[in-house]
Amino acid sequence: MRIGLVCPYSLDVAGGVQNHVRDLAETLVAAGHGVSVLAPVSEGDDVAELPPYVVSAGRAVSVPYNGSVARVAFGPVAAARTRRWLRAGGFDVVHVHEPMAPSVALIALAASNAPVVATFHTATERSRAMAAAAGILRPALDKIVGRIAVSQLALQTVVQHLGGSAVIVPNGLFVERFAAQRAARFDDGGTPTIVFLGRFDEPRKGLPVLLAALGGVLAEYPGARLVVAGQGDVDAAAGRLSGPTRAAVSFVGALDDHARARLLADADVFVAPNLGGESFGIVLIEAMAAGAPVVASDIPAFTAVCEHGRLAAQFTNGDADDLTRAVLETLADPETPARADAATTAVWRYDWSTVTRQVTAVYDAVTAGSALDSLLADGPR
Amino acid sequence: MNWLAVLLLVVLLLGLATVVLSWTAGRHDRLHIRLATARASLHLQLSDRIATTMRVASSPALDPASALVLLAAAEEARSGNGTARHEEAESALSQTLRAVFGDLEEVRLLCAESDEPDRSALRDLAGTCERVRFAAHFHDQLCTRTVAMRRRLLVARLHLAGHAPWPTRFVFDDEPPQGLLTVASRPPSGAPEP
Repeated sequence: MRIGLVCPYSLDVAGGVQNHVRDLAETLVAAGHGVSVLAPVSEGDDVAELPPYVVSAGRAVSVPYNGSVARVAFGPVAAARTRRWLRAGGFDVVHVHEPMAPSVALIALAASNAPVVATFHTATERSRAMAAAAGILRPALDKIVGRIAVSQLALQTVVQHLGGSAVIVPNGLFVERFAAQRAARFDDGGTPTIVFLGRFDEPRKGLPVLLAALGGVLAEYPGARLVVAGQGDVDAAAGRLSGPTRAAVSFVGALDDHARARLLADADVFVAPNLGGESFGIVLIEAMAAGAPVVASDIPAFTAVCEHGRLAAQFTNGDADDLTRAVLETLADPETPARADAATTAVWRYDWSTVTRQVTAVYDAVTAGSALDSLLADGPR
Repeated sequence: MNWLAVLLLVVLLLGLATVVLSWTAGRHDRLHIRLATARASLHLQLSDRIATTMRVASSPALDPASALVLLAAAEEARSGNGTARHEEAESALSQTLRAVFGDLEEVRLLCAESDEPDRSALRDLAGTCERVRFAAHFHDQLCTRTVAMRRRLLVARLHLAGHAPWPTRFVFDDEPPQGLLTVASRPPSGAPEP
């Protein structure tokens, strides 16, 4: 099958949607499909470093949208490239991601003649701005034949914005890559390692809550360390710390899949203190796959992944004292390893082998319907 | 005789003080009126920029993604009017306009694909972005002058400014999209841009 994937955000920037598109493309290629990915490319980017299946939709620009800054591509050049890519690709199915983002996914959706599948990743409130833009979005969004939502929350967003429904296919993970590191786990008694992953500059990732909770953990376990992995301004973050907390925290920068898996495998607790704005919670699934005991805030996306506490401990969102309690309980609880094992088994349903099969099933359903459509359309003539 | 001279001098000084004070108060009053006018003018230009942005966003020559960011930013600015996030929303609109219309080549391509009414909407947008910038500059200048005057000891102590509110600045990013301005500054002609 010839499949055209469209990613609205620049692929060189780490992000849920980008990682998903890249991994999906790779698994589809491995399954023998012809795949082309259209995505914005950052200025000064070495195009040779991008995978061969990526086609540049033009320069990515930063634009404020819906309360944050998006790196996207639009404008006459991007639109012309998108149309050219669609013509040259001869796709059986075009799969756009996050079509409500102001980028090439929306442009491709509006311009495509092939049947379109769209995946909705984020859970966003229907803002006044989006309501005002409904007239522009509607004709394009009406062209979607198969809708996919990555989570129950994303599905609610689809229903709220567009009405109707969507099938849920979760974000994928190469579970094996994370699970392979599990043997490296070692227990160093009184010096537990706590791990935080994510762009720690972003308030919604909740690092300040974890830092506030750290004091209480250090009171019980003076040797405990917190490892913060992810992009962000280390000096600014470290500058806000004081005395004993500062000594316990180390920043290790952004890590690739492999290094992240090793770090998680060594973790005694993985903490996800996110305050909100998450639709799925891939970070939890990575940690679970690597065998790290998880403590997560009780935002809806995380509660769904934690299966209401069966697979991981949760604490009241934003409450540092409750986070201290949850971390101490997890460190002390003899059931913790068993719970982490149960989580490791449970996350296999997010493995790409399963997710890609479900996505191609959607492609099949959509193309079969459109084949019938064109038969019927050709019939009377 | 001597006391008469002193009295005369006192009356003269009092008279002089009255004249100076009332003249200062008058200057103040005029400055505040000019400030109010400048503020009204700035808000008018900002509203005009929102309306023109919305008009341009509905042009069929624009791709849907560009139209979406423009509409969203314009709507944010419109609904932000009179709230604490007004300045932030206007800054975001400026940034969005630069993201869409900042690049000269892109604006040329867009003009080539547009028909005359759409091109005239784009010219209007360039004009309104420029006027926003000027109005913001004048308003800011007047704020600075008014504040400086009101900080003067005499004015502050003697309440010469009366009940006029303390001037509030309107601090936002007013940088216009250069590409659009360059294209629009050419003489208008029916022919597509090169």
